[in-house]
Amino acid sequence: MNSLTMMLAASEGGDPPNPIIPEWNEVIWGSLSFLILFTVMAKYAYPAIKKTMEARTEKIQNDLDAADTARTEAETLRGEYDSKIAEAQAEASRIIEAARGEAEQVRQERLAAIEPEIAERKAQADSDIEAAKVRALTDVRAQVTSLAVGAAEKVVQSSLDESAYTRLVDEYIESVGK
Amino acid sequence: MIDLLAAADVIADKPDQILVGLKAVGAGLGYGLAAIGPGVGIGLVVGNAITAMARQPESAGMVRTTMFLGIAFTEALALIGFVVFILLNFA
Amino acid sequence: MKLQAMGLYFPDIEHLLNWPGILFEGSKYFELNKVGIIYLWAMIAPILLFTLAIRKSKLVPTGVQTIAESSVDFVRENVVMQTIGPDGMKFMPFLMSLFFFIFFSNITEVIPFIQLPGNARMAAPAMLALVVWVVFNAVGIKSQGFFKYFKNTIIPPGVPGALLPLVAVIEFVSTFFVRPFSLAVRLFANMLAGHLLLVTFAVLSAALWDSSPLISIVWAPFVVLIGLTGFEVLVAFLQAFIFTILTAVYIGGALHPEH
Repeated sequence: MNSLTMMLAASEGGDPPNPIIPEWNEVIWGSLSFLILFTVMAKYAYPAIKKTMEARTEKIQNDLDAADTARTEAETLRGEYDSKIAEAQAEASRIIEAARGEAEQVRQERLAAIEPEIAERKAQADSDIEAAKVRALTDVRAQVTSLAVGAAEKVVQSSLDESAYTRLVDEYIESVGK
Repeated sequence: MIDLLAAADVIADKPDQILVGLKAVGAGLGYGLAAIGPGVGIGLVVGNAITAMARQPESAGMVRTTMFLGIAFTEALALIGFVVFILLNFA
Repeated sequence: MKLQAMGLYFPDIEHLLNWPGILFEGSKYFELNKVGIIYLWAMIAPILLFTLAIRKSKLVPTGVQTIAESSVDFVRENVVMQTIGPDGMKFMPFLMSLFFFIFFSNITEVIPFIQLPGNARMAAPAMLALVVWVVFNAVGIKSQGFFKYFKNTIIPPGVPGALLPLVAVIEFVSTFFVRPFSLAVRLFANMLAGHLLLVTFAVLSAALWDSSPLISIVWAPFVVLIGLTGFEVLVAFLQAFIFTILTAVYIGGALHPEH
C-alpha cells in the first residue's frame, strides 16, 4: 500500500457496511437533506426565480410591443411628411407657374400699351418725311425755275413776253417734274 | 496429472475456497453475459436515434430525450448484472 | 479479495465504502459520516446557488443567476414540457429538487479530496425512488381515482382478451415494483461503477508512480484516469437528468393515462 492509495481509501476498522443494503444513518441524513431542499425549493427558490424570469419575459414582450408601436408611429409620421413634402412641391411649382404666367401677361400688356405709340411715332415720322419731301420738291422747283429763268434770260437776252415765257417754263418744268 | 490430483486434494480440504472461487467465476460470467444484450440494445437505440436525427434535424431535441430514455431502460439490465456481481462477490 | 502483487493493492469494496462517523458516533440512526456530509452538501449547494442568484437578481442575468436560470429553463423545456406538458409545471419544484440533489451528490465523485459520489451508497437512490413511487402513485390516484388509476395502469388499451391476465400481471409488477427498483439501481450502480473505475485507475497510477515514476508508460493509466474523470462528470449530469426525466414520465403517465 502506498500514500496515495491511503488517501483514496477509507479508514480501516469498524464493521464494513454492506455495499448494497442502505444504512439507516445515511438514509436519514439523505431524506433530511432532500426534504429541506424540497421545502426551500418549493417555498422560496423556485417562486422567486420564476418571478424574475417571468418579469423578464414580460419586459421583453413589452419592449417588443413598444418597439412595434414606435415603428408604426414612425411609419405614419413618415407618410405624413411625405405627403406634406409632395404638397409643398406641388405648391411651389404652382407658384412658379403662376409667376411665369403673370410675367407673360405683363409683357403682353406692356407690348400692347407701347404699340400705338410706336405706330403714332411711325406715322408722324412718315408724315414728317412726306412733308420734307414736298418742301424739298417745292424748293427744288423754285430753284429750278429761277435757274431756268436766269439761264433762259442769258440765252435769249431779250425779254420775251413775261407771261408767255412763264407758261413755256412751266410746261418745261411740268415735263421735267414728271 | 499427479499435480492436478494433488491440487484437487488440497481444494477438497477447503470447501469454503471452492465456494469463493465459484462465486467469482459466476459473478464474472454473469456480468459479462448481462452486458451483451444491453450493449447491442444501446447500439440499436443510439443508431436509430442518429438516423432519425439525420432525417429530421428539426425534431432532434425530442429524439434525443427519447433516446436517453431508451438508453436508461436498456442500460438498467447491464446495471442489474453489475449489482449481481457485487452481491455475489461482496455481500 | 486482496490482490497484492508487484506492489499493487486494490482496496476491498467494503473498505472503499466504510467511512467512520464524525458526529453522533455509534448512534444507529444519526451517525454522520462522509456520505451524510455529501448529502448535506447536495442540499446546501443548490440552496446557496439559488440564494445567490435571487439576491443578486437582475433583469439582465449574469454569473450565478445565468446558471440558476438556465437550469430552470433546462428542466422546464427538456423534462417537463417533453414528457408531461404544460400542466406539469406544478411539479417543477419537485423535479428541480430531484435534479439538483442527485447532480450535486453525484458530482462529488470528481471533486478532489471528496471523490465519493453520494449515490454510490444505496441510501439516497432508494430513498428518492421511494419518494418518486409515492408521488406518482399519489398523483395517479388523485387525478383518476384509486380504482380507475389501478385499472388504467395494469390494463393497457388494445390488448386481446386471452393475453390480458398475463399482460396485467406484467404491467402490475413493472409499474409498482420494477419502476422504483430500476430507478434506484440505475442511479446507484452507475455511480458505484464509475467510482470503482476511478479508484482502479487511481490505484494503478499511484502504484506505477511509486515504483518507477520516470517510465513513460507510467502515464498511461493516468491519462485514462483524466479521461474517465471527464466521462464521470458527464455521467453525473446524465444520471441526474435521467432520474428526473423518468420521474416526469411516470408522473405524466399517471396524469394522462392514454399516453
